[in-house]
Amino acid sequence: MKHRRWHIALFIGALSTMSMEMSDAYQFRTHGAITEEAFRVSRGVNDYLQGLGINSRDRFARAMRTEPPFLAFFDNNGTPSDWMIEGVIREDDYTHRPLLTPLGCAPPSNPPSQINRPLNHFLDVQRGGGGMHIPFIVSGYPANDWALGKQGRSSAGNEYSLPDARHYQFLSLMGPSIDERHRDTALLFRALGHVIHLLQDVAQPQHTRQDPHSGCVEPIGGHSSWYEKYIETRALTETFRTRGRVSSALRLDGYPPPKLATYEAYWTGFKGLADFSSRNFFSVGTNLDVELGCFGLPAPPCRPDAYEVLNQIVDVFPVGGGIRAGRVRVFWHRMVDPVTGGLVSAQVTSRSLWDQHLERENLFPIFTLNTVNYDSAADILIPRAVGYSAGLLDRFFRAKIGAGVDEDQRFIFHNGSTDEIAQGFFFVLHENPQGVREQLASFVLALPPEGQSAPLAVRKLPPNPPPGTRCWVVFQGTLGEERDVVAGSLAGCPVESSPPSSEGSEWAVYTCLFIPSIPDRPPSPDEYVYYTYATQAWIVDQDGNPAFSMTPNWRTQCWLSARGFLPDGQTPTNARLDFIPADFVPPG
Amino acid sequence: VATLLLVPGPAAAEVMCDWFFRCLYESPGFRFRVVDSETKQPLADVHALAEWVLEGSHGRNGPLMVQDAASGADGWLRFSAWGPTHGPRTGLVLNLDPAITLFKPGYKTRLLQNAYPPETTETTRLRRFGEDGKDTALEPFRGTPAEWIEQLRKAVYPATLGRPSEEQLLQFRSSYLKRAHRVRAEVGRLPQGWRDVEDFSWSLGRTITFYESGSVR
Repeated sequence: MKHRRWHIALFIGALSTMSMEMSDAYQFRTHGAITEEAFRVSRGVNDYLQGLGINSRDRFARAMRTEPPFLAFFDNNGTPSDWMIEGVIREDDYTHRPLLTPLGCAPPSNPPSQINRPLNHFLDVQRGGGGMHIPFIVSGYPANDWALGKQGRSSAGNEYSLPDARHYQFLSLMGPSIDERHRDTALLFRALGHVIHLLQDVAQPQHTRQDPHSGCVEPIGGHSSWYEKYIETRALTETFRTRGRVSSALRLDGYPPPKLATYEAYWTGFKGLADFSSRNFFSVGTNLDVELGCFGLPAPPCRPDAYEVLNQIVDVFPVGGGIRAGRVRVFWHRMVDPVTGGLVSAQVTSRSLWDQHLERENLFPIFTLNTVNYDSAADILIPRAVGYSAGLLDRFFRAKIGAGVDEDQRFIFHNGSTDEIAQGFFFVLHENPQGVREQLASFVLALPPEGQSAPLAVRKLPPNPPPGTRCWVVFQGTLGEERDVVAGSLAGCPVESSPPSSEGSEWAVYTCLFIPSIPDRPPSPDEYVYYTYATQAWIVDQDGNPAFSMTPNWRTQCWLSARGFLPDGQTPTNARLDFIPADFVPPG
Repeated sequence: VATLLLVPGPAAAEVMCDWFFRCLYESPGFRFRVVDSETKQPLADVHALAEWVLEGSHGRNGPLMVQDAASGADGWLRFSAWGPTHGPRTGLVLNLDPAITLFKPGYKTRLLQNAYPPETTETTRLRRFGEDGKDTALEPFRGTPAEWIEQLRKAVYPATLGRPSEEQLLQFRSSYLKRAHRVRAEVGRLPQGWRDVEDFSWSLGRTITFYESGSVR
């Protein structure tokens, strides 16, 4: 520490007018792997895409992408998942400061950036919830405020916060041309990548314990993070330093997405990920140091006797080569997972003769963090980074707004949320085969949880719309207590009825599955109800035919089973003819 | 005492670099032989791309030096000495000093990481190659076209560099272009009209355009 203060005195004047990046973050491919897995397990994202008729492999605005050499060699093919990964990588963009290069700071290799994004990647939850702050030198916004657009959001600042993602989402549904919608779809998923980067970073204790690790002007900016370098070799299954074998693959799965009441709660609060990482783990610059009072951080406890101490024999990798057995005193910390309530144990610090790389012996034992601790931390924190990222995505896409068309071609909107009121604008959009979208109608409605609107008349399309004609409903408004929520889904097109056919009337017959809602438990398959539904006002697919499947409400799925003509005035037998209401309870 | 405290420790042997930010790096050159992992026979026309990767403030920070070579009939690959070259104080990534990707159609793309000699640190000036003079094996590829595309992707987009700058890449464009053209020739042999092939081909085309013209526009 004396050494460090001496350097601070030397550099403080020179740096007082500069802002500089102070953090690394999980490195690029680690973020990429976490994001890819979060996208995969997020039910919300996948339901949203499915509801819009988007395949997860569909491509959007590929020409806008950052080329692989400037994206840590990640090849963005334009899919929603790839755009999210581009966002998560580009959240580490920073500005070029030529004055710092001679001091050993690497110039940025990202495309030119006007802002130092990594400055805003810290959240000091145990000391007031501030961001990175070194007096007279540098300060950043708290990571959660930066992600949620509460601070730093402007055209010259952060354009990829959560409110920006909402803005892009609305445009991606309402834009008149395909090109505009594709661009905004790409921006929506890129923005979400930026947002979840900030969540993933707080699963790294250096980001939640004010421990700068830029590797740039080290006395102030801190040493680069060996934890992050090591974890990156696990993401890439490469060897780390003197290890003769490749690092084990990252453990990504195993932590279900938590469902929390606000976005903020994913960062801070009793169940916040930043609180969990800060209060349960040490970092290299804020290790268990009784003399220094653990740097004013109350948790984990600043007493060695608060831990279960075990002498452990581990592989060490002396600089002379080979592998030896080395003795390390490992400090185990038992913690309660605030979401699941389960007990988790981790090797949070070590005391031994060996240095942080388990490569060199010191004269006296020291507290270090080494790869034993890093593996232990990563196996707990990385699956949570995945789970919390997926949980936040689930929350973002939780609105379930749909609509059915009754036999008079009127729209009945329904709110698929089980516990939140949806109130705001409900739009009906029509898209012609050339991809041009126009608004057919808009309404201001308030729908209770699982509720539906009265049938509402909208402008109808002429009979027999051409193949490729599609319609959507879009919602923009307040869901529960969150404002400016956006949702959308495919819907049937309202079409003027055709003149009577000499062959009779055409019917589509669907087999439907209804899954009832039962308080406090999921229904068993024995309680599922199958029934037959016949309609002449079917939802059309891209070719103008009855859709192969449809979802009249969020508990019901129907599949086309027959299509044919009946003499005028006749109806299919043993079939329900009415629109399936949201509160449908089958007889018996 | 103060003087003693300020003297860099034994791990920081490069005093000029660690204290005065004057960092030099060099390679004495090296060679190694590539053989088939099953037959142990030398492999000709293996393309090797060697990258000496810089540490950066935000992870790996692109190459300080790039060389490429192709093996002859005897399977030997030779890399010439370079340096001394100025570089940043963050140094070179241990194990990626160099990182070598080996590419030959019909074989799995292989990343060969340096097994660096004892006492090497990030700022050590002379970077020797731990496999100098030894044999290294390539494993024959047996798999689906989709898996082959992944091997091609690894060959042209190895994840070893982190995020290099435009200047770094264009400085070594001839080596990168040679690799990219070899990979493109392989893409041409894949079933066309298939989405994975189209995606990769589109991406590779833009990358080649960038290396050739300095821009993708």
